[in-house]
Amino acid sequence: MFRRRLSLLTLQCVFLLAPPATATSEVLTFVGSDTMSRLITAWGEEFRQKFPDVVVDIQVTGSAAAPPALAERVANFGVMSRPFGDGELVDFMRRQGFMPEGMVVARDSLAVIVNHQNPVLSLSLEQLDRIFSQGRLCSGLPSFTHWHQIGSGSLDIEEGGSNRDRPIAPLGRTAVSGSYGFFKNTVLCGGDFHPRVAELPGFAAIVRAVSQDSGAIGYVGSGFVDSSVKAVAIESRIDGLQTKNSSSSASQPSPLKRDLYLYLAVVPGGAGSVAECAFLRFITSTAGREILIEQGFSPGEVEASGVIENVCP
Amino acid sequence: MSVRNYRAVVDMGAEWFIRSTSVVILLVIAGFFLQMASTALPLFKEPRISLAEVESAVATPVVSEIPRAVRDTGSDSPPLLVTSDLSITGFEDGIVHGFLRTSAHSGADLSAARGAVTSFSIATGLPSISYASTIANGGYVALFSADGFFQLGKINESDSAKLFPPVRIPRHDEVLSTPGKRSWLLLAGDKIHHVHLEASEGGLIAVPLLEYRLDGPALVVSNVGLTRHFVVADGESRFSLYKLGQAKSRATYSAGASLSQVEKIEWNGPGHVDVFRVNGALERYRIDNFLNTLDVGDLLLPKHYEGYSEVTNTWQPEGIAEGVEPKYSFLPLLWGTLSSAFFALILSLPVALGAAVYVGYFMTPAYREIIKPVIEMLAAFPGVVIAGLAMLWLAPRLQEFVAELIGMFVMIPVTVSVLAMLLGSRVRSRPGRYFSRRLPLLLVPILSGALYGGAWLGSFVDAHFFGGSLVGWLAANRGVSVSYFNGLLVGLALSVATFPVIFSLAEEAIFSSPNSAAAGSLALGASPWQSFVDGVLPYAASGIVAALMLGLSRAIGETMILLLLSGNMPLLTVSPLEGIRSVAATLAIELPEAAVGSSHFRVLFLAALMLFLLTFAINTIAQLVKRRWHHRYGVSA
Repeated sequence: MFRRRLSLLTLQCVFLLAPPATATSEVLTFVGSDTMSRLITAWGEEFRQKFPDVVVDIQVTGSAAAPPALAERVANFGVMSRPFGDGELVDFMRRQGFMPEGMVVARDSLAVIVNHQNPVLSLSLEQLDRIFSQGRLCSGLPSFTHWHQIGSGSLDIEEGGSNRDRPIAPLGRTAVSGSYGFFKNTVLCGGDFHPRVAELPGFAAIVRAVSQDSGAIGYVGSGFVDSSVKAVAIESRIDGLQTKNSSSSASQPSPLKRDLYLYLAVVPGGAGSVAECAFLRFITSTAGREILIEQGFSPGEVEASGVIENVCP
Repeated sequence: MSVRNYRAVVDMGAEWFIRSTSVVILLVIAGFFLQMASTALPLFKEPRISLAEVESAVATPVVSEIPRAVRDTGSDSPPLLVTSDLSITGFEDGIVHGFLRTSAHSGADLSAARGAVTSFSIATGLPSISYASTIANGGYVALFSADGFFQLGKINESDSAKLFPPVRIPRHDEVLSTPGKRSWLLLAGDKIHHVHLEASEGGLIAVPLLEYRLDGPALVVSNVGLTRHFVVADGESRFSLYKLGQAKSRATYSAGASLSQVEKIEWNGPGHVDVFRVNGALERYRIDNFLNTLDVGDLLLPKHYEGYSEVTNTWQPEGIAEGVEPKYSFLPLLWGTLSSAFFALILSLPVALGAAVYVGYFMTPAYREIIKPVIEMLAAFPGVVIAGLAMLWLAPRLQEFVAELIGMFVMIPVTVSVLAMLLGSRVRSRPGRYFSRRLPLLLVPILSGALYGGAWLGSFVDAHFFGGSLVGWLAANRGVSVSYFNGLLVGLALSVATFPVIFSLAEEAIFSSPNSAAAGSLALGASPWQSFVDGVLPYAASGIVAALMLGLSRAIGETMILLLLSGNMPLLTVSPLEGIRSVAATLAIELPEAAVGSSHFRVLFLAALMLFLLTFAINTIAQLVKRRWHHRYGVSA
């Protein structure tokens, strides 16, 4: 009696734990960058239309999560908004004994966004350094704390802004994010963020906060900019010529442009799995590229195709 | 076997199962503690230098014969639209030679178009140049003159160079660039001056940061790779290991006076330093425990960090760029955790305890059966749901309604006090009538009115004295910086999380305390309140303290609310309108990315240990208080 109940229980447990059995399903697991999450999701959806047997699983935390996941072989693809770091490569080599295959699959730019009440239209990298940095190694000038310190009397200011007295409330990502590191390296010259820079766990949170706080300024992946916020132009110098570009569009050059990577672990001489190769071929196809452009990125397939030939003979 | 025996065996089995479970739980707790401690404690190992091997007659590696020049380029340049590599090829009598290579992405074509290489020679104002180097931000050259001058030059492609006015620095014999090229070591006899760059009104200036005092004049000073350590060999064949930013040497090795002088020290992979002697001997030293170790001072004391213009306590772990000093000050994190718990309890404690007293003692049981589960339903909300709602709904409104909130906070106690004064004597004379079941129904409109009145008063004051926006007024006139994510927001959300915990436990303690004393006191003519204070509270106090402590533990351990609402800013301010960063949220953000075994990883585990000890201490205090009350009143609640 007692024993029978026990065996019944075990049976139930087995049923509960067993995965739903579909004979041919293969899971493609993506781990990594928030910047690329929407792109990978869009790719995944379209890919599922063609290959319904493949389950696409996307885990978004930040680029730093990709290398360990790949090294542990719990992810098929590491999604990163920056290349592997040296330490991460060493760690990967130690665990797997070979180098990960990486390819640039897209390019995007970080956009700097402000509230609609903010009259500022453009900012220079130097001004961004003075807003976001603690040490201000790039500009070497004192910090900006209030909006009225920026661009008074200059052409870069719209009429009728109502936030001039507000303190500047800079927003950024947490340190797991590749964008955090990219912004730190590019805009702060590798210096430290000011402790007043809020660290938020996602771009969507930054967009929402900026849309509601008239003193806020934040950096987000250009795909996340929507009508609730205003992207400011980033000024940069080319051969002494002052140029202004709206950083909201990936097709125009911006100082905050960067490469986005997919990494996969393939034993040297071996090949990726059927589903992995199918996915790689899909994203470099015309359909894949259309989705990429639709999502606000620009293609980087030149480097990708070379890797695909290696990985998927 | 009879049924009776069978049951006895089952009972015994159950008892042993329960006992062993508690032992297992204790073991698990001890295991957690040991795991955290063993991960964190290697952080404080003492570095040690030891001699590994000696070889005689080894040729010193040839030093390239460019006259004391630095041939480094401006680090691995970030993918800027315009990137520039600055190189210095040499310097003599106040003139620096070098070249600047620019590359630019042109138009929509993203392939890097190689730009021009511009060579330059700058005549600096300095009488003589003893050292020149590029610095981390690219485009700048740092020029040193041994008679105690420093000059910064900005090289750009259009106009060849802009020189900043020279500043005085300590006189020195030699200069060594630190890894990361953000600061320099100036060797001057038995002192080493650490000079770094600070931002100022006039741009970057060189400022002495620290002075390392040596035991004897230094012969050779050498960086230990990119590790932010340097080795000093002095005239008495002593090697000392210093950490940048820490005046005291971390380890010393005495090689004995018999050996001849040191010619050159080279860092040779992890843990090895090769020392070349003038007589051609090579000694290989091991340096252990210097990577990924810290001093307690790094965690607790305010420091003047490299590149910062003031002494601060800040938290900013390992930089992405090479050679940047990691900042591991615990104080902002501890402050964030404690202040957020404080804000939460300030808001939730009066309400929770008041509600517990009323529901547990005064309220008709029929009502209690409805209201208690309703309040306890709040506890069913996970932290992340509260945080999400607060982020979507409360955060955008909070800044507008700060004045109204303050008005409400003031109005409620004022209304209650006024009511008590007006009605107090009547209630005391005819308690039965007023402490009736209708009282809560009567209070609802009064308190709602008080809330409304408070909000109105707040907005009135706001509109007439602060121009309609208290927050804006504070920011503009008092220099108070106000963050969208702030301690008040966290406190409000956390109070929602802690309120049901405190209420539920405190109410249970009050309700379940023995009724005899209160009943006796009522029978002798005391008012219900007097009966409560003298007849119930002594029995319930231990439970109430335990409720308070558990609420505190919940507030300290809460992660998602802080992660989403605090802004995670490592600030040390008392203002509830600024962002904070808590220990738990920091762990949630940074543990996934910290490399196992790195100092960052260990520091995070130390923070986890601290959090554990904090809640452990609070729980222990709660237990002790409980025990004392039990002892005094002989109850077992």
